[in-house]
Amino acid sequence: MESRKFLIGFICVIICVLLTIILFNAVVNPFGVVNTELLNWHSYNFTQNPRTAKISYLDKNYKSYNAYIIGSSGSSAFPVEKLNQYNGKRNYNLFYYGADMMDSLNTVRYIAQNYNVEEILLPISFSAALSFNSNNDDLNYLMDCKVDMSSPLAFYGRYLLASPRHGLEKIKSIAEDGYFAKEFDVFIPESGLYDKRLRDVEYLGSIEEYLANNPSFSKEYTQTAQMKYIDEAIDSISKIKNICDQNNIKLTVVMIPLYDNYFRQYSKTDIDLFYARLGEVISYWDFTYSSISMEPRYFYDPAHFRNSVGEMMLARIYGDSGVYIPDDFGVYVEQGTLRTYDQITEIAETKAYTAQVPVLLFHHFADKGEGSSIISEKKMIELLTYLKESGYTTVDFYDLQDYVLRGVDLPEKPIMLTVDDGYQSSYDFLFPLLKKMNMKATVFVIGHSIGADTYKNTGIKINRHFSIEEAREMLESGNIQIGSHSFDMHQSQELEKNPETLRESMLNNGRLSENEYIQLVKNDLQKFNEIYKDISPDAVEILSYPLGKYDQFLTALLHESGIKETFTSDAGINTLIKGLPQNLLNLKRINVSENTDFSEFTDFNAR
Amino acid sequence: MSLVSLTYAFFVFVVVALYYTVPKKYQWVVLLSASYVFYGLHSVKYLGLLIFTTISTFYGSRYIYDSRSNKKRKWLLILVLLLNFSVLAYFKYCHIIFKGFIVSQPILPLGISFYTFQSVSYLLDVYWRRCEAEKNLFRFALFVSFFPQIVQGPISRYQQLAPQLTAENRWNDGIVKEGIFKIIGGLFKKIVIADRLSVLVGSVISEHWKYSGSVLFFVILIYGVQIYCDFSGGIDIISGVANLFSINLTPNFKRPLLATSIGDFWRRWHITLGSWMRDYVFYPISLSKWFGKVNKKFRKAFGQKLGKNLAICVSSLIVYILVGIWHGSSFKYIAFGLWHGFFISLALITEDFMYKIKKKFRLEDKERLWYILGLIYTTVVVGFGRYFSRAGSFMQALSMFKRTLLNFSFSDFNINTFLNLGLGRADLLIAGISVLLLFAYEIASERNIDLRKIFDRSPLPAQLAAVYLFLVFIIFAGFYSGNGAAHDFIYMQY
Repeated sequence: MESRKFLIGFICVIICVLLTIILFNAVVNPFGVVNTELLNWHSYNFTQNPRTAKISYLDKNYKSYNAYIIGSSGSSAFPVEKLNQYNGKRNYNLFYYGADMMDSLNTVRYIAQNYNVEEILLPISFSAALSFNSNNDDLNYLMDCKVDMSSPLAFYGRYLLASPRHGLEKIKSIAEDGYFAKEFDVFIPESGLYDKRLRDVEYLGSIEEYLANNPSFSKEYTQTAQMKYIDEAIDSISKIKNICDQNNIKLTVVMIPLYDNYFRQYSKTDIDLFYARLGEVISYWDFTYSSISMEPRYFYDPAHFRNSVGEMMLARIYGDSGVYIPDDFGVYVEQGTLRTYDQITEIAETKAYTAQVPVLLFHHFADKGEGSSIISEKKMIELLTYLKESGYTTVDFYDLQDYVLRGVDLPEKPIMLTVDDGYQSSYDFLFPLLKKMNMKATVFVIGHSIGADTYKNTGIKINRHFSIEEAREMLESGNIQIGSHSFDMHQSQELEKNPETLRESMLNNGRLSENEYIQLVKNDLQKFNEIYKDISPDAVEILSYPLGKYDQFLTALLHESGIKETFTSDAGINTLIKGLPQNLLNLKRINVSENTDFSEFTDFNAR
Repeated sequence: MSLVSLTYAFFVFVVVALYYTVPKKYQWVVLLSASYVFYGLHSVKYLGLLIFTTISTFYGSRYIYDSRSNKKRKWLLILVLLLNFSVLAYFKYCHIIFKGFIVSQPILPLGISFYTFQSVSYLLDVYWRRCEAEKNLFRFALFVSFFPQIVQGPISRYQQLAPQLTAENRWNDGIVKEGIFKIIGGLFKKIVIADRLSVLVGSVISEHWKYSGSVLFFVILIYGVQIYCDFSGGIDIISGVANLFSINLTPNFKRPLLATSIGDFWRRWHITLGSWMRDYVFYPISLSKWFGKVNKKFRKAFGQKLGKNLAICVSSLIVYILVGIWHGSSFKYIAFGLWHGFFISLALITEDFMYKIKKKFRLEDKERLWYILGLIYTTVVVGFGRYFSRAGSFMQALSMFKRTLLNFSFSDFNINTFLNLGLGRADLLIAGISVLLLFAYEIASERNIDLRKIFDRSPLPAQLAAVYLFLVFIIFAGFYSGNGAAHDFIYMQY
């Protein structure tokens, strides 16, 4: 009898345990399946399952949007801010990683019925025909039952009775969360995009470096990818078109660019068939294969083009002539027009789209050169004369920016001169010299030391620095650009009183929390800009790192705060690529000292 | 279907429900069907091998049982043994024997060494006329394939298990309750302790050259806890599930981590393999004519007592080498067997000497100091032995062995080392507390303190609350692989 009672009680215990799990999963809500206000960390939920969490987010916020991007991760690089400017709508990037056309069709149907939709951008690729309705049963891939009209009981049952490890992982991640995306919160809920702030400041370098760092571009796809589901894919596109027509939604279909090796995994027969079938049902923009496909640096990996390329595509579609786009990138294919493998693989000789730009680094000019940072005036005059005679043209930030953003070509042998610290010698000696020789340079000043000859009012004598008025005069001449060398993050170890707060570079010295550090950097930049507004009408856009020290975190932080070009002290020549502004970050510089031998400078641009 | 999955729980639930609703005389049919469905769900292809073993053993035994000619019986026995062991050998050892011809080891059929050993024990029992041959092929098929235990044992004996399988069983609250406790305990050992520790152990072994001897040795002791929890946790779940059908399986473990000698360890660890080896290898060797001659020669050469012991050592070594080979084909397993065989033999040879020491210091077997010395000795010897079974290869085991002996410094034996092994602070804490709980329970049981009795005497609501909390703890502290399922059991690969 004792045992009988226990067994009956045990059944109740099992029920209680199940209820506990259900309650836990509902409250912690790691997949954003339950519409609750508690622990609503959308960015995390999106990452665990964008299908459930994005829909759940939009069910509440759909009124803020009226246009959507629908697709798989291949659609993730269409920045909505740019698109908003072009189409005047409020766009949301409703892509899901690993989505097939069935997912897209279901999503279009759902949003057309439930949200206010005026435009849909549908990026597709041949991969749409590789799998269809693949029924991935993983909790990370399951579609919301409202969208694919599956059984709600099974759907909620699976999520609510899921192993608590998902929820525990979410709770654990709260403590590990940081300012930028980590692998558990890669989405920006408000736009539906990936948070690429860190990714889009990474170093690309020369093609050899990039290929070595990213082996996926060298992979050879030995097996042909079979497009088994062309009919299903095209059928879905046609259904999506019908839904859009019925609901007065403007539909734009875009074939996304693929990197060469990835494109080559498809057979000619399949590609021709896909194009033929697609052309029957709809007009579309085709970006699949062009000179862009030949350059790995335009891609994160062979199947995923960069956000910058997404911007080029939008510029092409909306006819923005102010943006660099290779001529052969993007063709509008009218419905009924046949496009073939042979057509698209015939790529014309591409114009040069990369440039090698050396940047020289100086600090101070004096009668006599000394050490690595003081160079004699005589030597400087010799150097500039040498550069001029060797055919170099000095360029500045605007020239580089025009090159990467608008594709405006640089002079044949460009070179950039930069001077750190803002000493008086820049004004007294360099400025008149540059004017005389009609050359350009960029000087990076430390905010607090502008016009100073003592260290931060301590009375301790330091080398004199030029004044605000002198800075403005230089800037207005056009011969000299003024950039930031931080406001006060380049402190002197000897002259600072408190070693606890000493800050020689802009890196986090480990004593501050992430938030405190971010605040510190942003404040420093703000203080610099307060002074800078007496020099220039615009906020500062160029910065050289104190001591040349930087990391990806700092770069991304500065970049999102408006800094477009940063300079390191790493030695080397820079590769610039048209269309990729991130190459302006962390530029390498060659330090010039009294002992530097100019003859090494002859073939910079050939490298 | 993993033992630790909702699918398995659902499967068991359905089979139990069917088992107690069909007429009693068909209960065994439910079990047989369930067992074949279970095996078929795992692999239809290998179901053929199971059927082959079943049929060959069944008919072989029948003929052996009926035949009066000793010669025929013997030849038939050898034939059936060869058939079955060659299938086993093909899957486990062919890639070693035919190195170069066969590239890789084929995927091992589920439970092959367990059901083969079980069938062979039946065959030999019939041959020695310890039991009658089964008349019904299907009933015998159930003995070979009984689904809870086919995964990883225990290796049951025909006389013990078969009558229970085919008996007409009524629902028994008491046994079912026992079963539930076993299942809960098994889950705790497996997903809270073993799978958690496996991360830590794996990190150290895969980069063993980075660590000092002290860390290596500590981790190999942790591995001992891990594999004990993994294996015995699985067995607990299995015998718990068997209990749900009112069937009792032979115990396979008796607190092996508290063993006080190597012999004692093997009487507590994987008991059914040990007793199988004793009954079907050790005794037959010891009683064989060939061995009688060896025995005689040894006695002549070394004197009565020592000679006899040395002869036993020879058969022990053979047994432990076989135990090693049973685990796998790689040489490290043979070394593992030799290691244990050596210490078993050592104990035999030094028996007299130890007796004298004990007498001189007036130590009783139950004396605390003697007990603790034995415990430490066994832990150390078994620990070193585990280098062989856990290492990726024999050479790797040797290198860890060497590091432990020659580089035993405590320089990196600190919390930071352990925090860098893939487990966070919280996980280490959970692991530590769980292992302490387990040891507390085992030590209490060893001292005949019946915690279950105390539990049973407490009021029902308290009992249920405790079970609830423990289950919630297991589910929330459980360690799962990427897809949410528990990790596979280590002994499924043997």
